[in-house]
Amino acid sequence: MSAPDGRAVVRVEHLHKRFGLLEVLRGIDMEVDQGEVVVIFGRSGSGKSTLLRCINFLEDPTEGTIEVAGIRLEGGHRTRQKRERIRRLRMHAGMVFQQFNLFPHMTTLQNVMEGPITVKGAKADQVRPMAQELLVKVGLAEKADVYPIRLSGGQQQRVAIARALAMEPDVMLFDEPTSALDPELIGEVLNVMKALATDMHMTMMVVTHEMGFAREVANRMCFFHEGVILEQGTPDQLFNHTQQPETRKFLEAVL
Amino acid sequence: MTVKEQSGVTQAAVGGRGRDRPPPGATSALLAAWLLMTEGAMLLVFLPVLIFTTQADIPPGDIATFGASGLACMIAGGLLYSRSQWAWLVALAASIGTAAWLISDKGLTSWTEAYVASFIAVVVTILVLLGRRVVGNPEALALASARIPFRVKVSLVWAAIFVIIGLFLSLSELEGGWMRDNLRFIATGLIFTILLAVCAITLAVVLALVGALGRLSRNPVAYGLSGFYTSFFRGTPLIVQLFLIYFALPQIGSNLDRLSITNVLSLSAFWAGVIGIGLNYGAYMTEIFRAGIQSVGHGQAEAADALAMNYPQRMRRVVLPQATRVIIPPTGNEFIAMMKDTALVSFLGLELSQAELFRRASVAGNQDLNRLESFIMAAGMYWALTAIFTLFQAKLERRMSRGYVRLEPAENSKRPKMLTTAGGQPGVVPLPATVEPGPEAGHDHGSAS
Repeated sequence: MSAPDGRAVVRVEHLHKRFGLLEVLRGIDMEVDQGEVVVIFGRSGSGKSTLLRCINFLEDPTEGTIEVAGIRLEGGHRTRQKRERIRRLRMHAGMVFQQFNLFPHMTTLQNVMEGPITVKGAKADQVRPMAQELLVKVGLAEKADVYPIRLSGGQQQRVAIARALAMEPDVMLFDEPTSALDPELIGEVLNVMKALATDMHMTMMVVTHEMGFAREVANRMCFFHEGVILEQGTPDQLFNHTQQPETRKFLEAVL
Repeated sequence: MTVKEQSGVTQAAVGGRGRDRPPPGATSALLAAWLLMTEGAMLLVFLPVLIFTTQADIPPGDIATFGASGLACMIAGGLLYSRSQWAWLVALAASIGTAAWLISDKGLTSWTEAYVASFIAVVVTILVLLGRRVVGNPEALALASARIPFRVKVSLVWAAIFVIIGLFLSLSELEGGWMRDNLRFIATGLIFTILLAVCAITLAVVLALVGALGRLSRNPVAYGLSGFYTSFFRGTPLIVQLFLIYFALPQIGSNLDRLSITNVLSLSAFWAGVIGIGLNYGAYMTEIFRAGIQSVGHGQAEAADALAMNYPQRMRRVVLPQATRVIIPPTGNEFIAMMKDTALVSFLGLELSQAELFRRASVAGNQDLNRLESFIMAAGMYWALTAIFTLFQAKLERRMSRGYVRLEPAENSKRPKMLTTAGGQPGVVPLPATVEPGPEAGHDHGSAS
């Protein structure tokens, strides 16, 4: 298991998110170090997905500060200048969605090459070897010229991971990456994620209910409850020395 | 088994043979029945025309003959479907009788009657030669009918319709010679009709795209402008807009006593038509484009955002290519409608040297008082134009479905299955054939842990 080396890639300070009257996040403070794998879990509606979406500004934080790879942004309204900075922040944060959200009009390889070509202005010929290598890494080299509709859910999610990696992000955000998958397809996606952590020492924030994965891969686990981090610690601490009764109740339910 | 059981109830003729093969002659008898009934319907349809139009020239006896033969054909054709063996004899007798009457009654007075008589004679021959074996056996006819593909039957109906219309037109003494002489003159108008439609649809597509982006914008100016545009151009008649642009705008110059303004605003009828039709259709198509853009799943925009795309990149690379698939079919319909609406430009007094189809047809028709011929030609040409484009559109639609069809295009070329949601959504159940057996991705890297 890779040890975090102490440099914070993601820093969340005093984060609040309100949807109208509903306050989903109620003051989150969090740091994720280089190479660290943080698993975020909790009941639905506890704010774990919202945290991830606030980190790359798919949702605008109501209050608080987000810092990714040294780019610091305050919450609140968007301005023209801020929009440009959000874009720069997003280049450092790869996102993997529950519903994969592959581009259906592009082949697998085109999906992976899309980010570097369109956003970074790279030439297709220069990106192609890197994209093909990524497809090899997620085990889909032979599906390069296939459209997403012809892939299984697990294959689509692995392509989505490769697509995010192609932007060479500093942190990968996984928003329930296996929740939409049939049980027999979950393993292949988790294996790719495991390899990301162990071989590439990728910094990862993973919202998931896959406790086996958490136990094996996570450096830290955060239990979200009603918009706050109720309890956090190493997998050993959370699984074997649970402090909070809410955490224990949840773990008993999912294990 | 079931066939035998059935045939036991009805007729033994079917039972002994193969499961669903009709006895020989059944198909011919069926065709004969159809032809007879079509013929009868044709004669009966033309009966009133004959009575009201050529009353003076044709003696009542002939009209009665005409009507009687129509009825006889209908009855004869219908009787072929009947169960009784005698029906066949009655049908035969009716047909022969009609033909005989037509021939005997003062001979054949016109080529039309000769045609009818010979036609019936042919049918009678078929009946005599082939029909006997299936006489009184409706089962056999039903079996024969089931073997003829639906498409073939529909084609036969179309052919019958064209024959009837053709006969009707020839009866109304359409001047084929005049049509041939003026074909080139009227068809030249097609060039300008197509040119007009292509220019106008280009303008309309651009306006619709801008309008739709405006309708979806959070910018109040963009939203307000596109709202005004769609409201005005959808709220006023196209012909009024065309007159406004062509006749009314130049008046601004003369009111202000500025010749330069008049010159700028005096458009040729062609360009006034392009601008007027383009603006009008652009307003309608704004809604089509807006709906198309909104049909692209929200997750697609989020995925583009997460890759750090900006708004133009997101639109150009992700949203619009997918929206296009939704937009193309209704846009094709709009284009077809637009090609027909270009006829309105003929009211703008186009120079004959660049007049469109309808104007040329009017000019030619009015000049020689051959309006039936000229407008039938115009209608036929518009129809052909839209029919051709409809084919083209179907091809294009099939091409656009790439990436949304699970099977290889070759296996699925007839009817591409379009998924209602954008591809890659969770509702899509993977085909067993494409499912990977195991987590093979982990083998390369997982061993390190």
